[in-house]
Amino acid sequence: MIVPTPTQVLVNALERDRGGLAIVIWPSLELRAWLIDEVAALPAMAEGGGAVVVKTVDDALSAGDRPVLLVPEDERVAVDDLDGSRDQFAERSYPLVLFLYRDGDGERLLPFRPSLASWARGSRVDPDQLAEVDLDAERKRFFAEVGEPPMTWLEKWHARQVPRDGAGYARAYWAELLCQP
Amino acid sequence: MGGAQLASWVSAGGNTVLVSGPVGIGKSTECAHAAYSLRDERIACHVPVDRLTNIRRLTADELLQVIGGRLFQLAVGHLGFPADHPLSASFPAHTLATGRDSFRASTPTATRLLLDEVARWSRQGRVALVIDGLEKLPEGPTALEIFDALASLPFDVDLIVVVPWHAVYGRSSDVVLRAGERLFVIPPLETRGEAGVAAAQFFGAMLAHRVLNPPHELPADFQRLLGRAFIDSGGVPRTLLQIIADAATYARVNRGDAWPNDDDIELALGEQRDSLRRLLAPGDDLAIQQATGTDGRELERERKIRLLANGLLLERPTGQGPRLDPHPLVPLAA
Repeated sequence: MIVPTPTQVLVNALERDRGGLAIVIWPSLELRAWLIDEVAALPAMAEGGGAVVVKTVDDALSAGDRPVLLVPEDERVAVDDLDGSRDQFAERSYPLVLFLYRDGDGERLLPFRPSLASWARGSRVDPDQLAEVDLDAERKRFFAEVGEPPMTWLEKWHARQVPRDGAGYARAYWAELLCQP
Repeated sequence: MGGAQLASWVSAGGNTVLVSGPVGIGKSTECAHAAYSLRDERIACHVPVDRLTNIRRLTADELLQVIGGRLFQLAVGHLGFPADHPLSASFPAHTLATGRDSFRASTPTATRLLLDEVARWSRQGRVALVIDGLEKLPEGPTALEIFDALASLPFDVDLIVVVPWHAVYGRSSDVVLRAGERLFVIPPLETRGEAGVAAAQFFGAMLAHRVLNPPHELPADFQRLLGRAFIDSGGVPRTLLQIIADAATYARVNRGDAWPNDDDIELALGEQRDSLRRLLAPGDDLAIQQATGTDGRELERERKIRLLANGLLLERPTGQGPRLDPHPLVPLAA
């Protein structure tokens, strides 16, 4: 079975729908802060005046049409409100990224909020899935697709010899993850 | 089953229609179609409540305000209804002007008055309200108050209302809104046989229209993948569109290709399977297997509502009543 990397899933989730929703799962508060920075740095987040980080769905709605990172203080309230307000986001041009604690209040509520769960179907990003990935097999897959090892390709990326587009950023994150010790 | 059938039922005198169906099945599309189909006989007001407010915090009074505001705007836009009509003062959040003769009343009273006024101003002389988005209404006393508020609208106002599953499989009362109401469950599209081929071709034509400029025939290999994805979507339009959009994005991001290949479709299907798997709770595997091929009457109520609402179990009509089958992408234990 072919398994996408978390980065592929995230880039895909952000690019799939105009005004789409992605759910990023975080396993610890420390990693949450890192993930927020990583997601905010993605090219899709730089559009529309840049991403804004908010704590509530009301703040997300009033942020206007720009990329939004929703990092809820209260996940149950955020999931409820997002489920109840889903269609108010339908006309937006930029993605909404919801950050939820793995197996926390918000994620456990999702099966009981079918509308929101349906909107996010196929767009759940769990960086920890990388731990389940066979790194050797993934490095071979990278080589087969790109024609060179991740480290070699990454050096070219850092030297700006590769175009800075969506595909390039996705590949850069993939390469960086595969270069981890 | 579609919007035209909902409209036909109303045209034939069935003035209360309840609509249900799993997420992504096209309830909103059918509601919009029903409102359009009724336009010659009724002044049909489509109220997408979920686009206008947070359904999970909705109250009965707010719903009537939303309906009144939407009807007011429709009347001003299409019937030459004065923007400063006295009743504008009763729907302050949804109207702009307030006239000298303004009239304030409780929301139920003002809504009733407005329905009378709009029917009087209209050529058709009768109002149909198509109320969409209430499927997300949480179960509880507020939901019952909301149904009561709708039930209290004048009987000569036709109602087409998308309702939550918990209302369809109610705990006690047989009536959700009004006596004589009819429930339509929007089923998934047929994916097999001639009907399945025709439906896949319809989506192919729609995609060609959306993504190809000028529209022309889709590549043969993509049409093959579309047919495969359609079967795996279970006939749920949103799922099909998500699979195709995911696969296209994988093709673009991973290889810079305009068209997805089998691997891209497999990635997209894997994402869907993973999302559906996460919706399964302990005991669901067995319950789904036991309910397969039945009308689901043996399923415990809360589980049945969750499985149907999420589209984990799909209900299709047959000559012998409804039949349940698991969504083809639900990864059940062997």
